[in-house]
Amino acid sequence: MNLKSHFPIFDTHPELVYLDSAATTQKPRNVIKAITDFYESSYSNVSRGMYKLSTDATQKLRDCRQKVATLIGAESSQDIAFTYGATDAINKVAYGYFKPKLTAGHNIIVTTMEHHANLLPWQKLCKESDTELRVVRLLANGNLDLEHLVELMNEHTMLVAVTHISNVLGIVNPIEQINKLAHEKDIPVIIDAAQSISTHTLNAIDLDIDFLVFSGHKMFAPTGIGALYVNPKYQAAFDPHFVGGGMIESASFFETVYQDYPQVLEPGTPNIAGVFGLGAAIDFMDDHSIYSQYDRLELLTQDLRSSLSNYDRIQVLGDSTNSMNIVSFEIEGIHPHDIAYFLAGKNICIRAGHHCAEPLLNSLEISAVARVSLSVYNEHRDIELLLEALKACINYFE
Amino acid sequence: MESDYLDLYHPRILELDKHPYHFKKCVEEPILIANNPFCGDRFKLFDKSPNKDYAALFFYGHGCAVSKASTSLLVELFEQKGLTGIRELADQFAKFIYKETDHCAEDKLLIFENVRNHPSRLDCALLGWNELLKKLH
Ligand SMILES: Cc1ncc(COP(=O)(O)O)c(C=O)c1O
Repeated sequence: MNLKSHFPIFDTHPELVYLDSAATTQKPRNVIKAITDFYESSYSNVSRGMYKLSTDATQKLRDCRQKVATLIGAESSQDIAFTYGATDAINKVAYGYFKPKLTAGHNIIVTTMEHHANLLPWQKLCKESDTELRVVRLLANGNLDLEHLVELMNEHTMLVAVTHISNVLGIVNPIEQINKLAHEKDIPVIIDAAQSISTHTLNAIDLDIDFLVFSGHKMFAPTGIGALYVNPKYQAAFDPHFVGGGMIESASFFETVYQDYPQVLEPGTPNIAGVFGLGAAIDFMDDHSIYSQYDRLELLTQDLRSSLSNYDRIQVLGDSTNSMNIVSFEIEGIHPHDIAYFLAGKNICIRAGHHCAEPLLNSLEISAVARVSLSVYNEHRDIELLLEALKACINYFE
Repeated sequence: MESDYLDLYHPRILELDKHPYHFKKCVEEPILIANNPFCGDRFKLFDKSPNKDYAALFFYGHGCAVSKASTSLLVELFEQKGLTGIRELADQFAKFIYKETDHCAEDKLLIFENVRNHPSRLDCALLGWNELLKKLH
């Protein structure tokens, strides 16, 4: 089944070879339609209206919350807070949950491969709270050094923050094992599922997840919408960082009683169209059994890695035996930006730079890499075109 | 489409990328660090002249072909023109790249003429030059 036909961008640009889905995925027709339909024929604000347009929108927002809950195997739709994306969700957890709890002597553990989104909030919080930031090393093959993680955890550890899939290395981290290791010491874990939400079936209950975040735009939904899952055992302790309308039990001039999670994290008018787009993206993923594409994409990733490794001058990052959808590489003597620009001239979209993981690149002693990333609309032909173009690129800059 | 993209790379840019002028790692404190946080390009400029009068400049770092070629020319022209001269030129070169003028005060910099039509690459051409305008007085 050709999923490409569901993405109108490829009708507009039939020649397009889109290999930048780790930055953001293209949007299927039903998602675009859900958004335009809302604005064209059912637009209104939610929660506060008595009229049908508003009550319908309110109900639909509720339905979308349930869809997210079902997608990640949460017990209840009330375990899901809508956010503006993964970055927003992590900051909400950092400032809403952890900030009031941290004091000098505590520590927070991150890993070498975190995106800035799952590093900077913890780094900033640690500085503000006199808390130590600890960083899990990588093994030579790029995987997390779990023994080091165990060494770093102690009775003062307040959190382990880890990405499910590295947005640079494509390495898939063993989140179930990490959860187990941390939970043995009663330490909660936040999982950044930004890159894995479109590839991995996640079950919050089976995996015993504490906090999980992702962005809609990397799973076929629009930008500006994301979600946060919080395990019920942590929900009562949120002290909101942002406050305003739509989140209160009662308010007077000098005191406010907030609603429970998730409303306590959702002040102000939500991104309603974004929520509906996210709901439509989940429908798309269900209707086309997106998670069953896993094996095909894993093979495609491996194929890409091994083809690139065949070139003398190309150095592929990461672990060839543990890699999903994302392949970063360097070509000796050609800067990643020049590679990306050369490919752009051939309608091939890849990304170059430090990919918001500067500490990771520094630890690997590189300043920038070229990154190819795949999604369900990619086919073997895209890889062939990429390889052909890379050959031409190497010749051009010779 | 391809030729549109590739007209960015004047043959002399490609040549300077491979064989830049005075490209060498130095132990001295850099007089300038040109850094583009979006792409990770980063060059350091060193003054190895005994009198610290910019008579023997070197640079080292990582960057794309355009930023490397343009920093190479910056180093070469800086040595020739001194601080006042290079600041004037940097100012004029920025105006040229941003298409505020079509006049390019230095023939050697004309190799960046096409960069003006590549909005995403303007910063590459100006990386060291803009830093110089900000930091060196
Ligand atoms: C692993 C990872 N985490 C977090 C983010 C941040 O996502 P957003 O910018 O949508 O908040 C990204 C985005 O690139 C990512 O790749």
